[in-house]
Amino acid sequence: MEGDFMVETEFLFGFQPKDRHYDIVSRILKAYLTTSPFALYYPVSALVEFRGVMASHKKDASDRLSALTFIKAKAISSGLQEVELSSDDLILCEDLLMQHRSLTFFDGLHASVTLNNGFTIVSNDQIYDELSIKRLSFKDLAELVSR
Amino acid sequence: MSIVEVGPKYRVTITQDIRKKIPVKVGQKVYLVARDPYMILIPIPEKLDEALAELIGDITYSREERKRAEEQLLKETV
Repeated sequence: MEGDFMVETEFLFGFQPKDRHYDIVSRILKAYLTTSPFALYYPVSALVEFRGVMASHKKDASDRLSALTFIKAKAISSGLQEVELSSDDLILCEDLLMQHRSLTFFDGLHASVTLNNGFTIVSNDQIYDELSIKRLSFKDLAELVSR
Repeated sequence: MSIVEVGPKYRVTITQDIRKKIPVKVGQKVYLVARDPYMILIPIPEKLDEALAELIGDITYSREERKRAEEQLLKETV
């Protein structure tokens, strides 16, 4: 999986047309499906966060079930692969949280999955730069997949 | 409710009474989940993006939303 890329929650929210990243995410997915020059993953940790966001907005279990199913369907039909969450990810997450006080739980979790799998994270969030994680913005990924 | 037979290649028919309640079209994709002893079929809408927009509503993802999700997780585990 070395040299591959992983999106996180911000990217998954971009699957829906009202999101501010919808256009660029759609462009990336369309180009990726045609060229697939590398493996592109989405982590289960992003789905856990996605579910948490939905629940915090009082979306009920039925809506959350549908939304998670549709997110997964869209990801898979776009050629993305799922990466599971492991106990190593949780342990590394706690280590990162101890060392970097500015990180939140999901920052740490996504960062751990990225580090443990040797991925480059696809995110516009500069928080990951503190951790020496290789990061690509959506704009950079769009350029990379359309080359 | 209908009882149908599992046919060749393990195919099953979604009968009309079920389709009246949950419309599905030939060629439409479904998500198949094994939930022992059941098998659940979740139809995937053809207009997936729009269906997601309807479900997600006006939530605009940001770091603030990440914090909300974390607080929600804590609330549910306490």
